[in-house]
Amino acid sequence: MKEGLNTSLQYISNIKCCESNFLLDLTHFFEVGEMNRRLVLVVSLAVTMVLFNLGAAFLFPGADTSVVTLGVGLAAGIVSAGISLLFGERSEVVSDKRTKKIHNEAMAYSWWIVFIFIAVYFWLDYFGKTKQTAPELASTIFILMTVTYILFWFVRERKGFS
Amino acid sequence: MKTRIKEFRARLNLTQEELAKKTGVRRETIVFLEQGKYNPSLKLAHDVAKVLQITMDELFLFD
Repeated sequence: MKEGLNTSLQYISNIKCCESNFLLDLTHFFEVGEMNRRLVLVVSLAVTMVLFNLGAAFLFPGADTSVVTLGVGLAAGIVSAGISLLFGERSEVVSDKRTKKIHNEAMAYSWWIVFIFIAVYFWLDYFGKTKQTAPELASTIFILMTVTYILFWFVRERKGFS
Repeated sequence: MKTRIKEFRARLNLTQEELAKKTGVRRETIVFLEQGKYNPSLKLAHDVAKVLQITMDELFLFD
Protein backbone atom coordinates (compact mmCIF):
# COMPACT_ATOMS: atom_id res chain seq x y z
CA MET A 1 0.00 0.00 0.00
CA LYS A 2 2.78 2.37 1.11
CA GLU A 3 4.85 1.38 -1.90
CA GLY A 4 1.92 2.10 -4.19
CA LEU A 5 1.45 5.52 -2.61
CA ASN A 6 5.12 6.29 -3.05
CA THR A 7 4.93 5.28 -6.70
CA SER A 8 1.88 7.52 -7.18
CA LEU A 9 3.61 10.44 -5.51
CA GLN A 10 6.66 9.84 -7.67
CA TYR A 11 4.41 9.79 -10.73
CA ILE A 12 2.73 13.07 -9.72
CA SER A 13 6.06 14.74 -9.00
CA ASN A 14 7.29 13.58 -12.43
CA ILE A 15 4.22 15.13 -14.06
CA LYS A 16 4.79 18.37 -12.16
CA CYS A 17 8.42 18.34 -13.15
CA CYS A 18 7.57 17.86 -16.82
CA GLU A 19 4.83 20.49 -16.71
CA SER A 20 7.16 23.06 -15.22
CA ASN A 21 9.80 22.23 -17.83
CA PHE A 22 7.23 22.61 -20.58
CA LEU A 23 6.08 25.96 -19.16
CA LEU A 24 9.70 27.03 -18.80
CA ASP A 25 10.27 26.13 -22.45
CA LEU A 26 7.24 28.18 -23.49
CA THR A 27 8.34 31.14 -21.36
CA HIS A 28 11.81 30.84 -22.83
CA PHE A 29 10.43 30.82 -26.35
CA PHE A 30 8.02 33.73 -26.02
CA GLU A 31 10.07 36.06 -23.76
CA VAL A 32 13.76 35.37 -24.05
CA GLY A 33 13.79 32.77 -26.81
CA GLU A 34 16.83 32.08 -28.95
CA MET A 35 17.10 34.77 -31.61
CA ASN A 36 17.73 32.37 -34.50
CA ARG A 37 14.48 30.60 -33.75
CA ARG A 38 12.59 33.89 -33.66
CA LEU A 39 14.22 35.00 -36.88
CA VAL A 40 13.28 31.74 -38.62
CA LEU A 41 9.73 32.19 -37.40
CA VAL A 42 9.41 35.82 -38.47
CA VAL A 43 11.07 35.24 -41.83
CA SER A 44 8.92 32.19 -42.61
CA LEU A 45 5.80 34.13 -41.63
CA ALA A 46 6.79 37.12 -43.76
CA VAL A 47 7.72 34.97 -46.76
CA THR A 48 4.50 33.00 -46.49
CA MET A 49 2.43 36.17 -46.29
CA VAL A 50 4.16 37.72 -49.27
CA LEU A 51 3.75 34.53 -51.30
CA PHE A 52 0.06 34.25 -50.44
CA ASN A 53 -0.41 37.93 -51.09
CA LEU A 54 0.92 37.34 -54.58
CA GLY A 55 -0.90 34.08 -55.14
CA ALA A 56 -4.21 34.57 -53.28
CA ALA A 57 -5.97 35.99 -56.32
CA PHE A 58 -5.18 32.80 -58.26
CA LEU A 59 -5.81 30.41 -55.36
CA PHE A 60 -9.15 31.89 -54.32
CA PRO A 61 -10.76 33.57 -57.34
CA GLY A 62 -13.58 35.93 -56.40
CA ALA A 63 -12.63 36.21 -52.74
CA ASP A 64 -11.37 39.40 -51.08
CA THR A 65 -7.63 39.04 -51.59
CA SER A 66 -6.60 41.01 -48.50
CA VAL A 67 -8.87 39.15 -46.11
CA VAL A 68 -7.70 35.83 -47.54
CA THR A 69 -4.08 36.97 -47.22
CA LEU A 70 -4.47 37.97 -43.59
CA GLY A 71 -6.36 34.79 -42.72
CA VAL A 72 -3.97 32.45 -44.46
CA GLY A 73 -0.98 34.43 -43.21
CA LEU A 74 -2.20 34.09 -39.63
CA ALA A 75 -2.70 30.35 -40.11
CA ALA A 76 0.73 30.07 -41.70
CA GLY A 77 2.18 31.91 -38.72
CA ILE A 78 0.67 29.42 -36.29
CA VAL A 79 1.95 26.50 -38.40
CA SER A 80 5.41 28.14 -38.57
CA ALA A 81 5.41 28.57 -34.78
CA GLY A 82 4.54 24.90 -34.36
CA ILE A 83 7.25 23.76 -36.78
CA SER A 84 9.76 26.08 -35.13
CA LEU A 85 8.90 24.72 -31.67
CA LEU A 86 9.18 21.13 -32.84
CA PHE A 87 12.21 21.26 -35.11
CA GLY A 88 13.81 24.64 -34.39
CA GLU A 89 17.39 24.98 -33.25
CA ARG A 90 17.65 24.76 -29.47
CA SER A 91 20.34 26.60 -27.60
CA GLU A 92 21.16 27.38 -23.99
CA VAL A 93 22.08 30.93 -24.91
CA VAL A 94 19.25 33.36 -24.40
CA SER A 95 18.81 36.86 -25.73
CA ASP A 96 20.85 39.44 -23.88
CA LYS A 97 20.81 43.19 -23.39
CA ARG A 98 22.39 43.80 -26.80
CA THR A 99 19.78 41.77 -28.70
CA LYS A 100 17.01 43.40 -26.69
CA LYS A 101 18.34 46.84 -27.64
CA ILE A 102 18.51 45.78 -31.28
CA HIS A 103 14.95 44.48 -31.08
CA ASN A 104 13.72 47.75 -29.54
CA GLU A 105 15.51 49.86 -32.11
CA ALA A 106 14.23 47.74 -35.01
CA MET A 107 10.70 48.03 -33.63
CA ALA A 108 11.04 51.81 -33.32
CA TYR A 109 12.43 52.20 -36.84
CA SER A 110 9.77 49.99 -38.41
CA TRP A 111 7.10 51.94 -36.52
CA TRP A 112 8.47 55.21 -37.93
CA ILE A 113 8.53 53.81 -41.45
CA VAL A 114 4.89 52.77 -41.10
CA PHE A 115 4.03 56.17 -39.60
CA ILE A 116 5.60 57.95 -42.59
CA PHE A 117 3.86 55.52 -44.96
CA ILE A 118 0.48 56.28 -43.38
CA ALA A 119 1.15 60.05 -43.53
CA VAL A 120 2.07 59.82 -47.23
CA TYR A 121 -0.86 57.51 -47.90
CA PHE A 122 -3.26 59.97 -46.24
CA TRP A 123 -2.32 62.74 -48.68
CA LEU A 124 -2.36 60.36 -51.66
CA ASP A 125 -5.85 59.30 -50.63
CA TYR A 126 -6.87 62.93 -50.04
CA PHE A 127 -5.92 63.84 -53.60
CA GLY A 128 -7.54 60.66 -54.94
CA LYS A 129 -4.29 59.10 -56.16
CA THR A 130 -4.92 55.68 -54.57
CA LYS A 131 -7.83 53.25 -54.45
CA GLN A 132 -6.82 50.67 -51.83
CA THR A 133 -9.47 49.15 -49.56
CA ALA A 134 -9.03 49.07 -45.77
CA PRO A 135 -8.11 45.34 -45.64
CA GLU A 136 -5.60 45.87 -48.46
CA LEU A 137 -4.06 48.78 -46.59
CA ALA A 138 -3.96 46.75 -43.35
CA SER A 139 -2.13 43.87 -45.03
CA THR A 140 0.29 46.30 -46.71
CA ILE A 141 1.07 47.90 -43.33
CA PHE A 142 1.51 44.48 -41.72
CA ILE A 143 3.93 43.32 -44.39
CA LEU A 144 5.79 46.66 -44.39
CA MET A 145 6.24 46.54 -40.62
CA THR A 146 7.46 42.93 -40.66
CA VAL A 147 9.89 43.45 -43.54
CA THR A 148 11.34 46.72 -42.15
CA TYR A 149 11.72 45.14 -38.70
CA ILE A 150 13.69 42.22 -40.13
CA LEU A 151 15.77 44.56 -42.27
CA PHE A 152 16.69 46.91 -39.41
CA TRP A 153 17.29 43.99 -37.05
CA PHE A 154 19.62 42.35 -39.57
CA VAL A 155 21.60 45.56 -40.23
CA ARG A 156 22.04 46.37 -36.51
CA GLU A 157 22.93 42.76 -35.69
CA ARG A 158 25.70 42.80 -38.34
CA LYS A 159 27.10 46.12 -37.07
CA GLY A 160 27.31 44.96 -33.46
CA PHE A 161 25.32 47.79 -31.86
CA SER A 162 28.01 49.97 -30.30
CA MET B 1 37.36 51.54 -27.06
CA LYS B 2 39.66 48.53 -27.24
CA THR B 3 39.49 45.38 -25.20
CA ARG B 4 41.94 42.68 -24.19
CA ILE B 5 39.26 40.04 -23.80
CA LYS B 6 40.68 37.83 -26.54
CA GLU B 7 44.14 37.89 -24.95
CA PHE B 8 42.96 37.01 -21.44
CA ARG B 9 40.45 34.50 -22.77
CA ALA B 10 43.24 32.69 -24.60
CA ARG B 11 45.31 32.59 -21.41
CA LEU B 12 42.51 30.73 -19.66
CA ASN B 13 41.88 28.51 -22.71
CA LEU B 14 38.29 29.67 -22.89
CA THR B 15 36.30 29.66 -26.09
CA GLN B 16 33.95 32.49 -26.98
CA GLU B 17 31.03 30.13 -26.42
CA GLU B 18 32.26 29.21 -22.94
CA LEU B 19 32.82 32.83 -21.96
CA ALA B 20 29.37 33.69 -23.31
CA LYS B 21 27.80 30.91 -21.27
CA LYS B 22 29.59 31.99 -18.09
CA THR B 23 28.57 35.61 -18.48
CA GLY B 24 25.03 34.79 -19.63
CA VAL B 25 25.18 36.45 -23.04
CA ARG B 26 25.13 35.27 -26.63
CA ARG B 27 28.36 34.29 -28.38
CA GLU B 28 27.88 37.08 -30.93
CA THR B 29 27.95 39.61 -28.09
CA ILE B 30 31.39 38.33 -27.06
CA VAL B 31 32.53 38.56 -30.70
CA PHE B 32 31.45 42.21 -30.93
CA LEU B 33 32.94 42.95 -27.50
CA GLU B 34 36.31 41.58 -28.61
CA GLN B 35 36.13 43.67 -31.77
CA GLY B 36 35.32 46.77 -29.74
CA LYS B 37 32.05 47.15 -31.62
CA TYR B 38 29.83 46.86 -28.58
CA ASN B 39 29.79 49.10 -25.54
CA PRO B 40 28.86 46.73 -22.69
CA SER B 41 26.82 47.52 -19.62
CA LEU B 42 28.66 47.90 -16.33
CA LYS B 43 27.32 44.55 -15.21
CA LEU B 44 28.52 42.72 -18.30
CA ALA B 45 31.94 44.38 -18.07
CA HIS B 46 32.14 43.32 -14.42
CA ASP B 47 31.04 39.76 -15.22
CA VAL B 48 33.56 39.37 -18.04
CA ALA B 49 36.37 40.75 -15.86
CA LYS B 50 35.39 38.39 -13.05
CA VAL B 51 35.37 35.34 -15.33
CA LEU B 52 38.74 36.34 -16.81
CA GLN B 53 40.11 36.99 -13.29
CA ILE B 54 41.29 40.53 -13.97
CA THR B 55 40.12 44.06 -13.23
CA MET B 56 37.97 46.11 -15.58
CA ASP B 57 40.82 48.64 -15.96
CA GLU B 58 43.02 45.92 -17.41
CA LEU B 59 40.28 44.65 -19.67
CA PHE B 60 39.16 47.84 -21.39
CA LEU B 61 41.45 50.40 -22.94
CA PHE B 62 40.17 53.92 -23.60
CA ASP B 63 42.00 56.34 -25.88
